Amino acid sequence: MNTAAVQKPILDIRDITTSYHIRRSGAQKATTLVAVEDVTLSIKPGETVGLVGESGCGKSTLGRTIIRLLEPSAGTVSFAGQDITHFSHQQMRPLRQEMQIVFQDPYASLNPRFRVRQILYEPFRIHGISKAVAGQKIPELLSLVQLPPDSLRRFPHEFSGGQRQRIAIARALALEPSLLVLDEPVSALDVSIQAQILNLLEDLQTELGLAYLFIAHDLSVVGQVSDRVAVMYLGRIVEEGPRDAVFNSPQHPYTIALLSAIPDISAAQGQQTRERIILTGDLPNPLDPPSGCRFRTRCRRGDQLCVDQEPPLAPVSDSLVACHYPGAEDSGPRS
Amino acid sequence: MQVPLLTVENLSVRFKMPDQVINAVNGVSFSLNTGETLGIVGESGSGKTVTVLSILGLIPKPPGEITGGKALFEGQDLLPLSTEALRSIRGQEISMVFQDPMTSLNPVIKVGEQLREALWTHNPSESRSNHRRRGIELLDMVGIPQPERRYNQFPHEYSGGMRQRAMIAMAMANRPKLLIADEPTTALDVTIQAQVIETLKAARRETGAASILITHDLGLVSQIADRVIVMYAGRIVEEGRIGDIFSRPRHPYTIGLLASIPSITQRRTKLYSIPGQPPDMANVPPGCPFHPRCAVGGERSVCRSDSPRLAEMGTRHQAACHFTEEAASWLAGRAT
Repeated sequence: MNTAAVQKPILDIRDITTSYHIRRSGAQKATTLVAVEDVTLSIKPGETVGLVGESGCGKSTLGRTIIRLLEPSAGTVSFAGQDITHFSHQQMRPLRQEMQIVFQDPYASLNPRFRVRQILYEPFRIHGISKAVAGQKIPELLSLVQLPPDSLRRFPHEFSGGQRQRIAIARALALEPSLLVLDEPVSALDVSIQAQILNLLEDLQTELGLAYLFIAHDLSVVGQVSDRVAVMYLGRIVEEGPRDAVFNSPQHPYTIALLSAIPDISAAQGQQTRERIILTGDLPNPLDPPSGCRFRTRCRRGDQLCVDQEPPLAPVSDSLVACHYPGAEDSGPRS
Repeated sequence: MQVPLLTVENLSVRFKMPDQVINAVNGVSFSLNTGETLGIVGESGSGKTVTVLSILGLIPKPPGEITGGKALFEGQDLLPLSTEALRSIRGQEISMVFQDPMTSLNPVIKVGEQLREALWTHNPSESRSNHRRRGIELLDMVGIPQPERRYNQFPHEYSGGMRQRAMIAMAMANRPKLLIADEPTTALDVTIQAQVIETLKAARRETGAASILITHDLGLVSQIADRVIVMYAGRIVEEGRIGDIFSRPRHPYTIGLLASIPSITQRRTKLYSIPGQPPDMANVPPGCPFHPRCAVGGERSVCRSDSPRLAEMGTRHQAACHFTEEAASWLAGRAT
């Protein structure tokens, strides 16, 4: 893969901030919830970037901003070298073929009154592609996601969760996109089916050269599919780097805690496991994030510097880390 | 030999629907000793929740129907008991924590009030202030910060993890002998899951209660249980101590499940995946219900005609498969 080094990213976002305006009952003015702040990320063709974090960290908002379902309040989104940050609906339309999204819940994302044939025909119809072309493509899509040809006549409720997710993936692939945003694509599925879908996604990537943004809260799933991993906490990326760097020598105390919190079966198999770190407290209210480093309220390393100054995302060995006291060991001052 | 706290013998449960009959639990037997933690693992529809709910008289009848078996709790069969008799056992001797704390807590009653009610129901003679004191102690025990203040708050003022801890506090209120937790951490974030698991462990230590943990998450079971039961299509397919199940699994389904979990320590080139779909419970395959998805037995006629019985594999280790020897060598072949 020596071409990868010189390859231009298919997607490039710089200093993205996305906010929501919410009106709380009784309040005169709308408050602003900054869901994503100052995020920079790029994805190359054929690459999988994993985005992990807990609920409310902004990972789904970031996914929706990337494909311009949401408009960022600051920063730029470039797709294939073109700045699309402020593209109108009309301008986005041709680009929609290029970037597609697959959601968590295949029960909610498929129209229950449509047969699979209609579901798969929709993208072609919307983009004004002739029935003849669609008619040829649809059976191919089914075989891509390994569903039997007779599925076309059936309704979503006749399928299991895993099969429905295959239909949703087939629909996303209909217009031959180059980027797929996968938002928790396997978290609603049973364990044995999860592995099937993860393998299918990997096969499709090899076959079609797709780029993936893989959003999930489950680090072990992200670790299985990603080339690079970005960890988010309260709207910011706190660590980003190659898969092995982030998983084998995490530098940010949040990444270290997240990895150690995964119930790992290796202990029961008699292998050595890492120390388990239990974070205290809950995620702070995103409407009122802590000053300085946002993680400091749950951090074992924090000191006054962390209260006063927000740490920038800076290079540490192979990764980028936003911490005043980065390190694989539990180093730095304790409060 | 110790007399088990709970012995379930040959339990069968079915649901009679207008157009079909679902045999949700088929001849399930297991036992649980005092202070022991048993994990019940399976995918959706495997019968793990129905097994436990029917022991507690919590399945809707009709359409549910217990067609056979016994559930001896301290020697007394729970299955024939009246609703009233069961109610006094539930919450007192046996208590339960469910997946979604928001639907199990009453949203319009303060958490402390709900705790006090749990205490009062089983101990009406005690004074109000004593119940309050004990309630605050319980919130403290499950690690809720500022328990006096939190006692007077409503469930919506709690975070998800705190609500689940409040549920555990309520479940432990009357020092039950058995705590049943059904997917207690599934709705929670990873770091909060870890907190709740620690809370469960602490509560268990504190009261010496035995527990049953129902989950689809093998990783979770490996951290908290002493023994584990693996269920498939309403049957136990394998049972054993944690070390045996995770290091020497003998049933192809258990082996497949373990092989399909992504590992965080090393990236596998490709995950093993069990082919096919979980069975339609109204239409379970004949013979071994796992045979259509099985990498070992699959095509063999005995697997298609005869349902294998649980057989001893070692000390307290059982598996229901016609070809456990081959399953073990298939596993060894995969590992190399």
